[in-house]
Amino acid sequence: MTKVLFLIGSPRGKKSTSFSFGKYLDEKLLEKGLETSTLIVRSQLASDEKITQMMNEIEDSDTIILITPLYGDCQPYIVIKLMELIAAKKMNLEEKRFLPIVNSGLGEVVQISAVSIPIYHKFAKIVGFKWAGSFAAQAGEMFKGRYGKQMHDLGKEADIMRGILDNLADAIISNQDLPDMAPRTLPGMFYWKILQKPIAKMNTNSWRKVAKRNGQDVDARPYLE
Amino acid sequence: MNVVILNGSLKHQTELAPIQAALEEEFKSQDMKTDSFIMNQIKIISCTGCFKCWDTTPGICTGVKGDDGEEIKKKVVNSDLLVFLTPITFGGYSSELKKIIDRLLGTLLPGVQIINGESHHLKRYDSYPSILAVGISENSDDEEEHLFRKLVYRNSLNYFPPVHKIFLFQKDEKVGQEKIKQMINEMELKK
Repeated sequence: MTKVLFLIGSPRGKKSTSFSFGKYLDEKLLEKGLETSTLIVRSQLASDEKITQMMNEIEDSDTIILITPLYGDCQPYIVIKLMELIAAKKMNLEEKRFLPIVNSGLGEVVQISAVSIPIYHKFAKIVGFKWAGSFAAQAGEMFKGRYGKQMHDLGKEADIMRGILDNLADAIISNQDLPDMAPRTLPGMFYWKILQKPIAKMNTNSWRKVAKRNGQDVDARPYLE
Repeated sequence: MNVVILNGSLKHQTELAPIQAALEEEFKSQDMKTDSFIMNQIKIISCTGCFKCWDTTPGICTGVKGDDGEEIKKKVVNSDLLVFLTPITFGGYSSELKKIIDRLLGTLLPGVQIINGESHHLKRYDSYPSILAVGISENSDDEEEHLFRKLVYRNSLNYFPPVHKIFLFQKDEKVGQEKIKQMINEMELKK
Protein backbone atom coordinates (compact mmCIF):
# COMPACT_ATOMS: atom_id res chain seq x y z
CA MET A 1 0.00 0.00 0.00
CA THR A 2 1.24 3.49 -0.86
CA LYS A 3 2.28 5.45 2.18
CA VAL A 4 2.05 9.22 2.03
CA LEU A 5 3.81 11.56 4.44
CA PHE A 6 2.64 15.13 4.84
CA LEU A 7 5.34 17.45 6.16
CA ILE A 8 3.80 20.71 7.31
CA GLY A 9 6.51 23.34 6.88
CA SER A 10 4.70 26.34 8.27
CA PRO A 11 6.10 27.80 11.51
CA ARG A 12 2.42 28.29 12.48
CA GLY A 13 1.94 24.53 12.63
CA LYS A 14 -1.71 23.50 12.99
CA LYS A 15 -2.84 27.13 12.75
CA SER A 16 -1.58 27.45 9.20
CA THR A 17 -2.89 27.38 5.66
CA SER A 18 -0.30 24.66 5.00
CA PHE A 19 -1.90 22.44 7.65
CA SER A 20 -5.37 23.22 6.33
CA PHE A 21 -4.34 22.09 2.82
CA GLY A 22 -2.66 18.98 4.25
CA LYS A 23 -5.68 18.04 6.35
CA TYR A 24 -8.00 18.36 3.36
CA LEU A 25 -5.75 16.21 1.16
CA ASP A 26 -5.18 13.70 3.95
CA GLU A 27 -8.92 13.08 4.32
CA LYS A 28 -9.24 12.50 0.56
CA LEU A 29 -6.40 9.97 0.60
CA LEU A 30 -7.72 8.16 3.68
CA GLU A 31 -11.12 7.81 1.98
CA LYS A 32 -9.36 5.90 -0.79
CA GLY A 33 -7.54 3.64 1.65
CA LEU A 34 -4.06 5.12 1.46
CA GLU A 35 -1.87 5.04 4.54
CA THR A 36 -0.90 8.54 5.62
CA SER A 37 0.88 10.38 8.38
CA THR A 38 1.42 14.07 9.11
CA LEU A 39 4.34 15.72 10.86
CA ILE A 40 4.70 19.36 11.85
CA VAL A 41 8.28 20.25 10.89
CA ARG A 42 8.71 22.92 13.57
CA SER A 43 7.78 20.45 16.34
CA GLN A 44 9.98 17.73 14.84
CA LEU A 45 13.04 19.98 14.88
CA ALA A 46 12.72 20.41 18.64
CA SER A 47 14.97 17.48 19.59
CA ASP A 48 17.41 14.97 18.08
CA GLU A 49 14.93 12.23 18.91
CA LYS A 50 12.15 13.91 16.93
CA ILE A 51 14.49 14.65 14.03
CA THR A 52 15.38 10.94 13.89
CA GLN A 53 11.68 10.09 13.97
CA MET A 54 11.05 12.48 11.05
CA MET A 55 13.92 10.98 9.03
CA ASN A 56 12.59 7.47 9.72
CA GLU A 57 9.13 8.53 8.53
CA ILE A 58 10.64 9.87 5.32
CA GLU A 59 12.50 6.59 4.79
CA ASP A 60 9.30 4.62 5.41
CA SER A 61 7.13 6.65 3.00
CA ASP A 62 6.58 6.35 -0.75
CA THR A 63 5.36 9.90 -1.36
CA ILE A 64 6.45 12.98 0.58
CA ILE A 65 4.22 16.05 0.32
CA LEU A 66 5.92 19.11 1.77
CA ILE A 67 3.46 21.96 2.32
CA THR A 68 5.02 25.31 3.14
CA PRO A 69 4.41 29.02 3.13
CA LEU A 70 6.58 31.51 1.26
CA TYR A 71 8.76 33.56 3.60
CA GLY A 72 10.83 36.32 2.06
CA ASP A 73 10.69 34.91 -1.49
CA CYS A 74 11.79 31.42 -0.49
CA GLN A 75 11.51 28.70 2.15
CA PRO A 76 11.14 29.59 5.83
CA TYR A 77 14.06 28.74 8.13
CA ILE A 78 12.56 25.48 9.42
CA VAL A 79 12.16 24.11 5.88
CA ILE A 80 15.74 24.99 4.86
CA LYS A 81 16.89 23.29 8.06
CA LEU A 82 14.86 20.21 7.14
CA MET A 83 16.34 20.17 3.63
CA GLU A 84 19.88 20.48 5.04
CA LEU A 85 19.21 17.58 7.42
CA ILE A 86 17.85 15.36 4.65
CA ALA A 87 20.85 16.15 2.44
CA ALA A 88 23.30 15.46 5.28
CA LYS A 89 21.68 12.09 6.06
CA LYS A 90 22.42 10.84 2.52
CA MET A 91 19.41 8.50 2.49
CA ASN A 92 18.48 6.47 -0.55
CA LEU A 93 15.45 8.44 -1.75
CA GLU A 94 15.42 7.46 -5.40
CA GLU A 95 12.06 5.69 -5.45
CA LYS A 96 10.34 8.26 -3.28
CA ARG A 97 8.05 10.80 -4.90
CA PHE A 98 8.35 14.39 -3.74
CA LEU A 99 5.64 16.97 -4.22
CA PRO A 100 5.98 20.45 -2.71
CA ILE A 101 2.99 22.75 -2.26
CA VAL A 102 3.85 26.39 -1.62
CA ASN A 103 1.32 28.97 -0.55
CA SER A 104 1.85 32.70 -0.47
CA GLY A 105 -0.38 35.38 0.99
CA LEU A 106 0.45 37.47 -2.06
CA GLY A 107 -1.62 37.14 -5.19
CA GLU A 108 0.93 36.62 -7.96
CA VAL A 109 2.27 33.22 -8.93
CA VAL A 110 5.68 34.67 -9.78
CA GLN A 111 6.30 35.28 -6.08
CA ILE A 112 6.36 31.49 -5.65
CA SER A 113 7.54 30.27 -9.03
CA ALA A 114 10.57 32.57 -9.36
CA VAL A 115 12.70 31.05 -6.61
CA SER A 116 10.90 28.77 -4.16
CA ILE A 117 9.81 26.06 -6.63
CA PRO A 118 13.22 26.04 -8.40
CA ILE A 119 14.90 25.62 -4.99
CA TYR A 120 12.73 22.56 -4.36
CA HIS A 121 13.66 21.22 -7.80
CA LYS A 122 17.35 21.66 -6.98
CA PHE A 123 16.91 20.07 -3.57
CA ALA A 124 15.06 17.06 -5.01
CA LYS A 125 17.74 16.58 -7.64
CA ILE A 126 20.58 16.76 -5.10
CA VAL A 127 19.08 14.38 -2.53
CA GLY A 128 17.61 12.00 -5.12
CA PHE A 129 13.87 12.44 -4.70
CA LYS A 130 11.69 11.65 -7.72
CA TRP A 131 9.91 14.88 -8.70
CA ALA A 132 6.14 14.33 -8.72
CA GLY A 133 5.08 17.91 -9.52
CA SER A 134 4.36 21.01 -7.50
CA PHE A 135 1.54 23.39 -6.71
CA ALA A 136 2.05 27.14 -6.29
CA ALA A 137 -0.99 28.42 -4.40
CA GLN A 138 -1.32 32.17 -4.54
CA ALA A 139 -3.47 34.16 -2.08
CA GLY A 140 -3.11 31.29 0.39
CA GLU A 141 -4.08 33.37 3.38
CA MET A 142 -7.64 33.57 2.11
CA PHE A 143 -7.94 29.84 2.66
CA LYS A 144 -7.17 29.87 6.35
CA GLY A 145 -4.30 32.07 7.46
CA ARG A 146 -5.37 34.26 10.33
CA TYR A 147 -9.04 33.48 9.96
CA GLY A 148 -8.93 30.08 11.57
CA LYS A 149 -11.18 28.13 9.23
CA GLN A 150 -10.36 24.77 7.68
CA MET A 151 -10.94 24.16 3.98
CA HIS A 152 -14.23 22.36 4.67
CA ASP A 153 -15.60 25.28 6.68
CA LEU A 154 -14.99 27.87 4.00
CA GLY A 155 -17.71 28.95 1.62
CA LYS A 156 -17.88 29.38 -2.11
CA GLU A 157 -14.71 31.45 -2.15
CA ALA A 158 -12.78 28.20 -1.64
CA ASP A 159 -14.54 26.16 -4.34
CA ILE A 160 -11.72 26.61 -6.86
CA MET A 161 -9.06 25.72 -4.30
CA ARG A 162 -10.99 22.64 -3.14
CA GLY A 163 -11.32 21.57 -6.78
CA ILE A 164 -7.56 21.91 -7.30
CA LEU A 165 -6.84 19.91 -4.13
CA ASP A 166 -9.36 17.23 -5.21
CA ASN A 167 -7.51 16.83 -8.53
CA LEU A 168 -4.21 16.76 -6.71
CA ALA A 169 -5.50 14.04 -4.38
CA ASP A 170 -6.66 11.99 -7.39
CA ALA A 171 -3.19 12.26 -8.95
CA ILE A 172 -1.51 11.18 -5.70
CA ILE A 173 -3.89 8.22 -5.35
CA SER A 174 -3.13 7.04 -8.88
CA ASN A 175 0.64 7.67 -8.54
CA GLN A 176 0.40 10.07 -11.43
CA ASP A 177 3.06 12.74 -11.84
CA LEU A 178 1.91 16.33 -12.21
CA PRO A 179 3.41 19.38 -13.90
CA ASP A 180 4.45 22.39 -11.85
CA MET A 181 0.95 23.77 -11.39
CA ALA A 182 -0.02 27.34 -10.71
CA PRO A 183 -3.74 27.50 -11.48
CA ARG A 184 -5.86 30.47 -10.53
CA THR A 185 -7.14 30.07 -6.99
CA LEU A 186 -9.37 33.10 -6.75
CA PRO A 187 -13.07 33.01 -7.54
CA GLY A 188 -15.08 35.64 -9.36
CA MET A 189 -15.67 36.83 -12.87
CA PHE A 190 -12.74 39.25 -12.89
CA TYR A 191 -9.21 38.28 -13.61
CA TRP A 192 -6.45 39.02 -11.13
CA LYS A 193 -5.39 42.12 -13.04
CA ILE A 194 -8.68 43.76 -12.12
CA LEU A 195 -8.91 42.39 -8.61
CA GLN A 196 -5.28 43.01 -7.71
CA LYS A 197 -5.48 46.61 -6.51
CA PRO A 198 -8.77 46.36 -4.55
CA ILE A 199 -7.51 43.21 -2.82
CA ALA A 200 -4.20 44.91 -1.97
CA LYS A 201 -6.16 47.80 -0.43
CA MET A 202 -8.44 45.45 1.51
CA ASN A 203 -5.41 43.58 2.79
CA THR A 204 -3.72 46.79 3.99
CA ASN A 205 -6.90 48.03 5.66
CA SER A 206 -7.51 44.74 7.45
CA TRP A 207 -4.04 44.86 9.07
CA ARG A 208 -4.60 48.47 10.09
CA LYS A 209 -7.89 47.54 11.74
CA VAL A 210 -6.35 44.68 13.70
CA ALA A 211 -3.45 46.86 14.93
CA LYS A 212 -5.88 49.63 15.90
CA ARG A 213 -8.03 47.12 17.79
CA ASN A 214 -4.87 46.16 19.68
CA GLY A 215 -4.33 49.83 20.55
CA GLN A 216 -1.31 50.09 18.27
CA ASP A 217 -0.09 52.30 15.48
CA VAL A 218 0.67 49.97 12.61
CA ASP A 219 3.13 52.57 11.19
CA ALA A 220 5.30 52.69 14.34
CA ARG A 221 9.04 52.98 13.73
CA PRO A 222 10.75 51.34 16.67
CA TYR A 223 14.52 51.09 17.04
CA LEU A 224 15.26 54.10 14.84
CA GLU A 225 18.14 56.17 16.28
CA MET B 1 28.40 54.60 7.91
CA ASN B 2 27.13 51.57 9.78
CA VAL B 3 27.57 48.05 8.47
CA VAL B 4 25.99 44.82 9.70
CA ILE B 5 27.52 41.52 8.63
CA LEU B 6 25.37 38.40 9.02
CA ASN B 7 27.50 35.30 8.58
CA GLY B 8 25.27 32.30 7.82
CA SER B 9 27.94 29.58 7.97
CA LEU B 10 26.81 26.26 9.35
CA LYS B 11 28.76 24.97 12.37
CA HIS B 12 31.32 22.92 10.46
CA GLN B 13 31.92 25.49 7.71
CA THR B 14 34.94 27.80 7.81
CA GLU B 15 35.12 29.19 4.25
CA LEU B 16 33.37 32.45 5.05
CA ALA B 17 35.55 33.38 8.05
CA PRO B 18 38.43 34.86 5.98
CA ILE B 19 35.95 36.79 3.81
CA GLN B 20 34.28 38.20 6.92
CA ALA B 21 37.68 39.20 8.35
CA ALA B 22 38.74 40.86 5.08
CA LEU B 23 35.45 42.76 4.86
CA GLU B 24 35.83 43.96 8.45
CA GLU B 25 39.37 45.15 7.72
CA GLU B 26 38.27 47.01 4.61
CA PHE B 27 35.28 48.64 6.33
CA LYS B 28 37.58 49.74 9.16
CA SER B 29 40.02 51.30 6.73
CA GLN B 30 37.11 53.25 5.22
CA ASP B 31 35.93 54.46 8.67
CA MET B 32 32.80 52.37 8.53
CA LYS B 33 31.51 50.98 11.83
CA THR B 34 30.89 47.25 11.58
CA ASP B 35 28.83 44.87 13.70
CA SER B 36 29.39 41.24 12.74
CA PHE B 37 27.26 38.30 13.77
CA ILE B 38 28.18 34.66 13.21
CA MET B 39 24.69 33.28 13.33
CA ASN B 40 25.57 29.74 14.44
CA GLN B 41 27.16 31.21 17.58
CA ILE B 42 24.19 33.37 18.54
CA LYS B 43 20.90 32.38 20.08
CA ILE B 44 18.13 33.17 17.63
CA ILE B 45 14.68 31.64 17.96
CA SER B 46 13.11 31.20 14.56
CA CYS B 47 10.05 33.20 13.44
CA THR B 48 6.80 31.54 14.53
CA GLY B 49 4.69 33.30 11.90
CA CYS B 50 2.50 34.88 14.61
CA PHE B 51 2.53 38.33 12.91
CA LYS B 52 2.69 40.09 16.29
CA CYS B 53 5.43 42.28 14.75
CA TRP B 54 2.70 43.57 12.44
CA ASP B 55 -0.53 43.73 14.39
CA THR B 56 0.24 43.60 18.11
CA THR B 57 3.58 45.37 18.69
CA PRO B 58 4.26 46.86 15.23
CA GLY B 59 7.92 46.59 14.26
CA ILE B 60 8.85 44.60 17.35
CA CYS B 61 8.87 40.82 17.60
CA THR B 62 7.12 39.77 20.80
CA GLY B 63 6.23 36.32 19.51
CA VAL B 64 9.52 34.92 20.77
CA LYS B 65 11.53 36.02 23.76
CA GLY B 66 14.97 35.49 25.25
CA ASP B 67 17.21 35.69 22.20
CA ASP B 68 19.35 38.21 20.32
CA GLY B 69 17.02 38.66 17.34
CA GLU B 70 15.72 42.10 18.27
CA GLU B 71 19.21 43.43 19.04
CA ILE B 72 20.32 42.43 15.56
CA LYS B 73 17.18 43.90 14.01
CA LYS B 74 17.90 47.21 15.77
CA LYS B 75 21.41 47.23 14.27
CA VAL B 76 19.97 46.45 10.81
CA VAL B 77 17.37 49.23 11.05
CA ASN B 78 20.15 51.74 11.76
CA SER B 79 22.63 50.42 9.21
CA ASP B 80 23.60 51.67 5.76
CA LEU B 81 24.88 48.35 4.48
CA LEU B 82 23.73 44.83 5.27
CA VAL B 83 26.10 42.01 4.29
CA PHE B 84 24.83 38.46 3.83
CA LEU B 85 27.51 35.77 3.91
CA THR B 86 26.19 32.32 3.13
CA PRO B 87 26.99 28.95 1.69
CA ILE B 88 24.67 28.63 -1.32
CA THR B 89 22.13 26.04 -0.21
CA PHE B 90 20.08 24.47 -3.03
CA GLY B 91 20.37 27.88 -4.71
CA GLY B 92 19.26 29.81 -1.62
CA TYR B 93 20.45 30.94 1.79
CA SER B 94 21.68 28.64 4.53
CA SER B 95 19.28 27.91 7.39
CA GLU B 96 21.46 29.96 9.76
CA LEU B 97 21.17 33.08 7.61
CA LYS B 98 17.49 32.58 6.83
CA LYS B 99 16.70 32.28 10.53
CA ILE B 100 17.58 35.94 11.09
CA ILE B 101 16.23 37.16 7.72
CA ASP B 102 12.81 35.75 8.67
CA ARG B 103 12.97 37.75 11.88
CA LEU B 104 13.38 41.00 9.91
CA LEU B 105 9.79 40.83 8.63
CA GLY B 106 8.71 43.53 11.09
CA THR B 107 10.96 46.08 9.37
CA LEU B 108 8.25 46.17 6.70
CA LEU B 109 4.61 47.14 7.06
CA PRO B 110 1.96 44.44 6.72
CA GLY B 111 -0.02 46.13 3.96
CA VAL B 112 0.84 45.74 0.31
CA GLN B 113 1.34 48.01 -2.67
CA ILE B 114 1.48 47.10 -6.34
CA ILE B 115 4.87 47.71 -7.96
CA ASN B 116 5.27 46.71 -11.62
CA GLY B 117 2.23 44.50 -11.35
CA GLU B 118 3.39 42.66 -8.22
CA SER B 119 2.32 42.96 -4.58
CA HIS B 120 5.08 44.05 -2.24
CA HIS B 121 4.90 45.08 1.39
CA LEU B 122 4.97 48.74 2.30
CA LYS B 123 7.96 50.50 3.84
CA ARG B 124 7.99 50.96 7.60
CA TYR B 125 11.10 53.16 7.50
CA ASP B 126 12.12 55.93 5.11
CA SER B 127 15.33 54.18 4.17
CA TYR B 128 16.76 50.68 4.22
CA PRO B 129 20.34 49.41 4.06
CA SER B 130 21.99 48.42 0.80
CA ILE B 131 22.58 44.69 0.48
CA LEU B 132 25.86 42.99 -0.34
CA ALA B 133 25.30 39.24 -0.73
CA VAL B 134 28.27 36.91 -0.83
CA GLY B 135 27.56 33.28 -1.68
CA ILE B 136 30.00 30.39 -1.52
CA SER B 137 29.36 27.65 -4.03
CA GLU B 138 30.47 24.13 -3.27
CA ASN B 139 29.78 22.58 -6.64
CA SER B 140 30.47 25.28 -9.27
CA ASP B 141 26.84 24.79 -10.15
CA ASP B 142 25.56 27.40 -12.64
CA GLU B 143 21.94 26.57 -11.85
CA GLU B 144 22.45 27.15 -8.13
CA GLU B 145 24.35 30.37 -8.74
CA HIS B 146 21.64 31.67 -11.07
CA LEU B 147 18.99 30.87 -8.47
CA PHE B 148 20.97 32.61 -5.75
CA ARG B 149 21.22 35.77 -7.86
CA LYS B 150 17.50 35.63 -8.51
CA LEU B 151 16.71 35.21 -4.80
CA VAL B 152 18.76 38.25 -3.80
CA TYR B 153 17.16 40.21 -6.63
CA ARG B 154 13.67 39.19 -5.45
CA ASN B 155 14.63 40.19 -1.88
CA SER B 156 15.79 43.55 -3.20
CA LEU B 157 12.25 44.17 -4.49
CA ASN B 158 10.87 43.56 -1.02
CA TYR B 159 13.48 45.12 1.28
CA PHE B 160 14.10 48.35 -0.67
CA PRO B 161 17.92 48.48 -0.60
CA PRO B 162 19.24 51.52 -2.52
CA VAL B 163 21.93 49.24 -3.97
CA HIS B 164 22.26 45.48 -4.02
CA LYS B 165 25.20 43.48 -5.32
CA ILE B 166 25.91 39.78 -5.46
CA PHE B 167 29.33 38.16 -5.43
CA LEU B 168 29.89 34.45 -5.79
CA PHE B 169 33.00 32.47 -4.96
CA GLN B 170 33.92 28.83 -5.15
CA LYS B 171 34.51 26.95 -1.92
CA ASP B 172 38.29 26.68 -2.32
CA GLU B 173 38.79 30.05 -3.97
CA LYS B 174 41.15 32.48 -2.27
CA VAL B 175 39.57 35.92 -1.97
CA GLY B 176 42.25 38.57 -1.60
CA GLN B 177 41.97 41.94 0.10
CA GLU B 178 42.09 43.68 -3.28
CA LYS B 179 38.99 41.79 -4.43
CA ILE B 180 37.19 42.72 -1.21
CA LYS B 181 38.07 46.37 -1.72
CA GLN B 182 36.80 46.16 -5.30
CA MET B 183 33.52 44.60 -4.12
CA ILE B 184 32.89 47.39 -1.66
CA ASN B 185 33.82 50.06 -4.18
CA GLU B 186 31.39 48.53 -6.66
CA MET B 187 28.61 49.12 -4.16
CA GLU B 188 29.14 52.88 -4.69
CA LEU B 189 27.80 53.61 -1.23
CA LYS B 190 26.93 57.22 -0.54
CA LYS B 191 28.78 58.43 2.54
